[in-house]
Amino acid sequence: MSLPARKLIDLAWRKPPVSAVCPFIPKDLQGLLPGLPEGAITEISGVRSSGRTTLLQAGLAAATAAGELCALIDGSDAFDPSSATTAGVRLERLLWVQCHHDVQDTLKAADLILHGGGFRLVVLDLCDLPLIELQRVPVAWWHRLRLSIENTSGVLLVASTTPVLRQAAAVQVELSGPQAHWPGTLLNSVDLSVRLRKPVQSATAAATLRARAI
Amino acid sequence: MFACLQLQRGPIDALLALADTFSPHLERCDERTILIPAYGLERLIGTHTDIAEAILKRAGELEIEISLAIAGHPDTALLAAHNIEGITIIDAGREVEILGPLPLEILPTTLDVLDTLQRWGAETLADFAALPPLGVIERLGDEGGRLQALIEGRGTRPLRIARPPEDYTAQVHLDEPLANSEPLLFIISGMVHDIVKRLASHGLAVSHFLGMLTPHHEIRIAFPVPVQEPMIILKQIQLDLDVHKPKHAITTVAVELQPTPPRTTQHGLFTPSAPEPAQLQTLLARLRALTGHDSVGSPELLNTHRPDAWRLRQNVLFEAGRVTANAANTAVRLSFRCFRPPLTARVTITPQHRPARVEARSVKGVVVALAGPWRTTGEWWAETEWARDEWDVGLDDGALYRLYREHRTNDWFVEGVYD
Repeated sequence: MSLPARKLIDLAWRKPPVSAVCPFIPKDLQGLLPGLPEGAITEISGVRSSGRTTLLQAGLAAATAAGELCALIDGSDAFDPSSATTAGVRLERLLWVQCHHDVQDTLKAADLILHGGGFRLVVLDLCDLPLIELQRVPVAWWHRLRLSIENTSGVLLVASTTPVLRQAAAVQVELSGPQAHWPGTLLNSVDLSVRLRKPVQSATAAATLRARAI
Repeated sequence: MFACLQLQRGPIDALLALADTFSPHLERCDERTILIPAYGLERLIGTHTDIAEAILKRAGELEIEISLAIAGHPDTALLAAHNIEGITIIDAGREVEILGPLPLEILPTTLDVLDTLQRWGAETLADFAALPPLGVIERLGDEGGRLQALIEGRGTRPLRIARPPEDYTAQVHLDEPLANSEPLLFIISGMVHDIVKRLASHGLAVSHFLGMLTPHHEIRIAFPVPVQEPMIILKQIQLDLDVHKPKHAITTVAVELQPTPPRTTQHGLFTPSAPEPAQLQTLLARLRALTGHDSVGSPELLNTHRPDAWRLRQNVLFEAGRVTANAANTAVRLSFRCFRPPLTARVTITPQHRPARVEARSVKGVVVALAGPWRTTGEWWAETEWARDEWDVGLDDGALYRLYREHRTNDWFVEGVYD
């Protein structure tokens, strides 16, 4: 795995990342983050049940409802089409690639899709992949993904247990401390705590999102 | 000039053989009628009368009876052959004189037009041809002008040539058996380029590729959209050969390309952008080569209540997108992640038969909140039968899981996590 050879002059004259954003996030979070930046990587991290998949599927639902083609690279084959349909994802506009817990294949599939182009939202699901293997991925690979999507209108959304993309991500969102509501004998809803890690803001950059379970 | 041959008695194959004797180009008007161009025959045979006699002589040899009409407009010749028995030769300018006595009902038009013409008092084609052309067009539109031109033999049209089905196949016997895919691809490349060139010259594209590599290897590729680029076809073949390598050295290569009309699309300013279908197909083939054939596609839910019932579809992504709803204002739903396969779990049960503690690979904790059981069963008549009790549980580490107990084996599993 190596960074594609580029001339220094190309990097020096590279256009700055586009500042446009896509409104592919829930309305309650738009005060915290106006949208997902185009031509850049947004990383979502959090522990189990913190709401990572909920945010991913909300993004896919918004993008597919707008008629866009989306791709999901599923590192651990965890995507549930039934749950996604309930969340509003139009499955006929979603390309699902199952990578069978193989980190190398997951990254190669993401690279192929980003270089192929044409997908507005590409979701890279790294949750449940071995953390040690993810941390061993060379930084050059994450930058390769960043360069693939830069200066395009595409959005790359990455979900993982802990932040792994480091400087390659333009936006980092951290989810923590889900609060489940069990009125009576039903799992009714879960309050997700969302915090913006990057870009750093002076004010308290946090919000709460309620996800309905029924 | 055009000659129209209508079969009166005899087999249709003999009529085709008769037409083929005089011209390779023919238009099949109906089951018993054929149009052929006669303008090349004048230098070869002679006058129109000579041509008609030659055709009748050949018809006699083939033991069939025909009506023959020769005229400057193919439809005029067709009209004459349908309605006048024997030989009819209509020289330029004599169309109305010859066709004029025929009744109006023989005109190939709608009943409304015929009714209108009869109400005007026209009974024969000559009566209709005598009407002022501008007035006819004003009242009947283009149809009126077309019918008058047909009777008067004005204008012309190209024949709709009936082509025999083309054979888009090729076969090569190799001097030496080939075991490597690279030289094999080189040979297939030449064959594919030739066939695609022929297809493109006929205004066609490729929908399927079938390669038979002797011995015992077959390549089948179905293209979701018609393809006219040989390189796209070859890339698919290369990826297929990479995944399914021939087990034996190849001695014969045979390829067949199935033709189809090319793809026509109308792009819109507000249509969301999507990958080019040809590029998308190459991308899908690469992804399948990387992760496996059954791992790439668009998911589709099956029409059943069985848990985790879905299938992957390959070609649905090639449809252009359209805005269907504004999802930004809809409520956020808690999503679910599956463990595939479900994790076998050891569950401690309380005296009230409720889960109290769960232990499985990567899942461990004390149950602090739960909902259930939800009993589901189904498809008892098939191998896909299921019967289980489901529980939603919250563990002490804050994670929310879905457990289930199978009725048949009484085993516990963690199906997935709410995330």
